[in-house]
Amino acid sequence: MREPTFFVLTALARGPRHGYAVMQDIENLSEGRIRLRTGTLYAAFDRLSEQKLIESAGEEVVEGRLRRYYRLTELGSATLGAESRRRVSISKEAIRRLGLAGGLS
Amino acid sequence: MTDLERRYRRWLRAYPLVYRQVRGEEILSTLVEAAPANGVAAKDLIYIGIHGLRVRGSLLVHRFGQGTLPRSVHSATLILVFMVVVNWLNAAFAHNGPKNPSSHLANIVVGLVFVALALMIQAWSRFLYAAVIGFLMITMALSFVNSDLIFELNAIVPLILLIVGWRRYMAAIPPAQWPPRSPRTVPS
Repeated sequence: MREPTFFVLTALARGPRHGYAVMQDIENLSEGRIRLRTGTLYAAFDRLSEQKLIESAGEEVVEGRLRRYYRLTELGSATLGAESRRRVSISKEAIRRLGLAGGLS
Repeated sequence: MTDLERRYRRWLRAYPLVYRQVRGEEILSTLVEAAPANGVAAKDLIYIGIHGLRVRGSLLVHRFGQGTLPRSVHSATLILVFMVVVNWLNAAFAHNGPKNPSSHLANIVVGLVFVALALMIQAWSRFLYAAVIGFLMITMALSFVNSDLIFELNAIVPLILLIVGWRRYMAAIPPAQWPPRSPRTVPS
């Protein structure tokens, strides 16, 4: 799973979010390292919807503008969980090999 | 509507109409909310353009080969494919082929052009179908002026067949929809 995809799924893990909120969340989560462009975000939404990892969770009009909310599906939650565990496992192994375990706790 | 919205809305035309009807307004909202204080973000416009082209491409790919082509259009495609084979065989084996690099290359390029035309016909797109007819008409017209053009009268039969099949082709095009009809559902 590519990093932007991982971040999009992570941003939706706390509950339904609309496009701009997801972009902001990703920027915060990545400490400013990743700033998704709108086109990239909606390309990711299209792909993840097609893969049934996310789904629409309703829409509202705020100040005359349409906001559509997205949320994780069960498959999306399971996929994000599996990917997170895989990343944690690799990170732990990297830390162990570097002999950094003592310094991190 | 603000000037900012108007500018972004213009760029949303990079997307096909069917996609804009589903996602256009929410993308516009996100663009406006994410816009920098000093106006439009050029990078956003570039990414919108790229994504729009990808969506158009994806719709074409999903339409490709769907339905049954009218017989005359099918025949035109087969003739174009035959011309591809003739040109590439000519490039490979003709006595003046490999020995004459420019003629050799021209045969390969013309073959590729015919491949592109055949694919464009199969794409179930009004625009591409019209583009093929326009291209063939222009090359035919040019061949009267410049007798060195390889297309010459070779293209007249597929051109006539395409014109004959125009109405049936247009009527047979499946309506566009988003998401495409046969989505790929395999998670990566």
